[in-house]
Amino acid sequence: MNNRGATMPPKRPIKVAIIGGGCASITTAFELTRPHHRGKYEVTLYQTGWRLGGKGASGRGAAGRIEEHGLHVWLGFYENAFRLLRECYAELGRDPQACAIATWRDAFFADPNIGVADPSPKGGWLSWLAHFPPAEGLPGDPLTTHNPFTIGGYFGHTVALLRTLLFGVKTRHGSDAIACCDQFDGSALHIGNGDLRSTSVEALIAQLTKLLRFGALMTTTGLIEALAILEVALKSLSAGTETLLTRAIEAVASSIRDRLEQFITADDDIRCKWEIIDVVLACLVGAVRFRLLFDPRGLSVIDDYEFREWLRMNGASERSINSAFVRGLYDLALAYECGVAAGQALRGSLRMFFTYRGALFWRMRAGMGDVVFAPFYEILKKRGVRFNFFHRLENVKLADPRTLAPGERPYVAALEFDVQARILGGGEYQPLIDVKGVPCWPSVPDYRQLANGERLREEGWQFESHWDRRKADTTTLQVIRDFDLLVLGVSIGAIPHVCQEFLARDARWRVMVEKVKTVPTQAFQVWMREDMPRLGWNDPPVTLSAFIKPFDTWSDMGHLVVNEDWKQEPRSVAYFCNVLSDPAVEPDRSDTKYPETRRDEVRANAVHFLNHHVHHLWPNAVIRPGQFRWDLLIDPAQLPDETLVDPGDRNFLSQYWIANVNPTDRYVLVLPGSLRYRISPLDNTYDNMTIAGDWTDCGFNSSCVEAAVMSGRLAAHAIAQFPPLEDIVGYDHP
Amino acid sequence: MDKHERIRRPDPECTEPKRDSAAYFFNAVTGNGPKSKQPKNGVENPDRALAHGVRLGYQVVEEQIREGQRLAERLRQAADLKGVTESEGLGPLVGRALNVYKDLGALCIDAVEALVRSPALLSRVLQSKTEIEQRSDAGVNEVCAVEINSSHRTQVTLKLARVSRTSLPHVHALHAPDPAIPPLTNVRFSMEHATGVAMLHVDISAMQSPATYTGVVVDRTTNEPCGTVCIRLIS
Repeated sequence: MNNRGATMPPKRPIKVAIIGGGCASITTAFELTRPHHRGKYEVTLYQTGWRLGGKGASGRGAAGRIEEHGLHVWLGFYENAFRLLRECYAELGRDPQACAIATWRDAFFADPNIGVADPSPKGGWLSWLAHFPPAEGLPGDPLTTHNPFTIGGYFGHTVALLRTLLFGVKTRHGSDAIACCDQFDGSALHIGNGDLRSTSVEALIAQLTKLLRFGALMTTTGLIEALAILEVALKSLSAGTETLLTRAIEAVASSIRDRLEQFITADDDIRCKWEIIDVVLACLVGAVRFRLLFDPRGLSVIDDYEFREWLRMNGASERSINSAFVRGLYDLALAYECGVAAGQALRGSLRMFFTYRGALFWRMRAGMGDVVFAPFYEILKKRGVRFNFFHRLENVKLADPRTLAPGERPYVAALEFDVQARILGGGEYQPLIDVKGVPCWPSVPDYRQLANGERLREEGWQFESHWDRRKADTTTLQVIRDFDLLVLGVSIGAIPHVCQEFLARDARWRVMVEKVKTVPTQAFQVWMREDMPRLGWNDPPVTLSAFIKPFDTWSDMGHLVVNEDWKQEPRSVAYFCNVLSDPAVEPDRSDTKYPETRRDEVRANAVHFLNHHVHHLWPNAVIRPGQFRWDLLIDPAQLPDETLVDPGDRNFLSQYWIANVNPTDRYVLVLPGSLRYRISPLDNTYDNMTIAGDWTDCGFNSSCVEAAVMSGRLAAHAIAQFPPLEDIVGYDHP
Repeated sequence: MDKHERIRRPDPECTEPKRDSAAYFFNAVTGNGPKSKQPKNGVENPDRALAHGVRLGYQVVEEQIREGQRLAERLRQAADLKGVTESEGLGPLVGRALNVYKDLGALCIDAVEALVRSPALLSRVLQSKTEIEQRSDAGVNEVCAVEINSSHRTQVTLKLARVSRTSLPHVHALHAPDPAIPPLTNVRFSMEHATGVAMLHVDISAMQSPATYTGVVVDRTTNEPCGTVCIRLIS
């Protein structure tokens, strides 16, 4: 047994209070209750409202439909997240005969397709669809097999990426949706006899020109790749070649750009590939110029630069910087408007494209709450974790500095909560419901379990609203008596509201709150009676970004229907999401109408989007541009075979939309110059507290599940010295 | 409250990642790459791999040239462009030429892949990198001691690339986030000649406000940044 954890009296468990039920908090709870610790830590988790999940929470609404906070896709490099989830499912041991989601492979499926949308200079929108080949291994596998974190692994994936770009990217014109797609990829590198026999002189010349452009792209790509090898090979021979090497690469890169820019960019198909290669080329030049391979700070050395600014410094063209590929990556990180730190952007791209295992994307077969948080809840309950739902943290109280002994560090003395609702009978709230044999979270609380539940329901208590401060009671936890150690797992948006004493006393916390910014998000989901091919989308289901704002990211989620519970089964399901702008003046906490106002705004955005923009993706979903076919939408209250007379956009009221404006729901940004102000879960300034969340300095400072899980594991390490830091995959990644 | 019962977290071994690429990547050079790509004997001559790739490339280039010559010949044979479009043999010819480009690109990539997966090349990189580091380490000292004179509880974080024995770095004034707080100016380097160890002296006035102060360390001769100092004065 590991005895290097928190100092403790010998004969009682250490009481750990975890605040918040998001990915990071759940991870910490999972780590601290491993059998390895033999019951050393007694964990109690405190959660606002009725469900776990934080920004990843989902609920089941009418017809058992899944209602998410946004679009959640796990990437193939989420090693820590997948490892823990796989362990969770293995320990849970669900019966496959009784539960459709019994194993992690039931919960997730590989999705090799990625898409981005791009306005064509010729008018309309293009969709680039890339199929990324499966990579060896599965996410969460031990690194002793198929370790992607080697120079050889990175080079190998570079080659695979180039191969995918050259042979596996398909361009689809919106106007060609019903007809065959215009392909110029590896599977379509032929010009048949019929093509030429029936075409004009101009068409022949166009085909020959295309041939030459493709040839130029091919050979140039080979040259670029050779440059990358040259860089490493020369560096290995002499330290004095660096300046010369930088000049050489910049000269060659400049020459390539000059030759290709005018020649190939007139062709949409080849332009899209060239823009990506141009970005890769800029990264290569930048890596040499900024000594990224050999700087002890790794890629963080360029975190003060905005990524596009850094690409521009290293020669990328304006067209490439604003290309669909770059915009798509930004949109996936919800960062296009605000910018992103160059080092983390590069690290994220490397991890995404070069270290994925199995598939680039992994998608869930049900809501994130169902496939992630319900199994973790069940396993943590089995391990003895106590869950106190309906507990809203109001204040983290520090010990009076005057009471500290000489040399004693500051510490948390008390936790003050509003109790939003009392549980009937004083027991523990039972949060899960059954949908087709799968334990799920409901979209609303089970009022029958709450004291005065019917009254709370009638009065419309919004337990998850920051602005609804109604409460049934208050409670205060005292250090030693009620807890020994604290894991503060709320999001940074909540810190100014619950950690005012920290901000008053500690400049580091003040600066962190000032610099690490967040943004609200918006999302909507629609369930439709026609399938995607009939709507005009003939390609495989895809997650597509860089589309028209305010909903630049779309994911085809039709696979979820089998795990919902409809009387009239939808033929297609679509999720859209993006950031939502902040008002000029932050709303006062007494403004209880604020969330509903923003929600109305999201509804209006969605209706406008469906009327005016969605036809670029689904040309048959509109009567004409500007008039969406509202009769496509299925109301969960509809009976089988019932078809509504088109009621106009009022039918949208039967769909689902959300404005994520609560401080804890806001998306954490990765702004240039901000990452150094993050505080690590390992920081020991307050010696009975650690922090956890994707807003902390966790080694992969990005707002995603993997970052949250890494942070949660670090928080567990801070308390128990376990897991070992070297076991947190990617923590030390350059 | 009995303070002796309060449980404290253990002090961490570190609070930030060690992002040294040498430790992260290069140590894994010969480790666990895809086994199907590894040569059976575990050793491969990089020159041979490169030569093989180049040879394959030349073969395709020659084929490309031959196809181009055939295409040009067929075009010359056509009396006018109208005739060209009616030629049934031209379509497959253009298609073959396009496929040549495809093959050229694929071979180029395959050749590069064979090269980059070569354990011999990667081992050479690792070996050479170590040699470079050893060469650049000559005349420098990575050890640095810290002497603190302060009545505050003080935490010092020094991030420094390397300290040269011949030219000590210079520390600029350390500033707190609040511009109203006076900066720390008594932070300097000296060389302990007896031990050959650089010493960072930190002298803090008792009147100094608790805060986090940060400053840049520069090379005294070139004035180029070579590190940072962060000092936390805790109340």
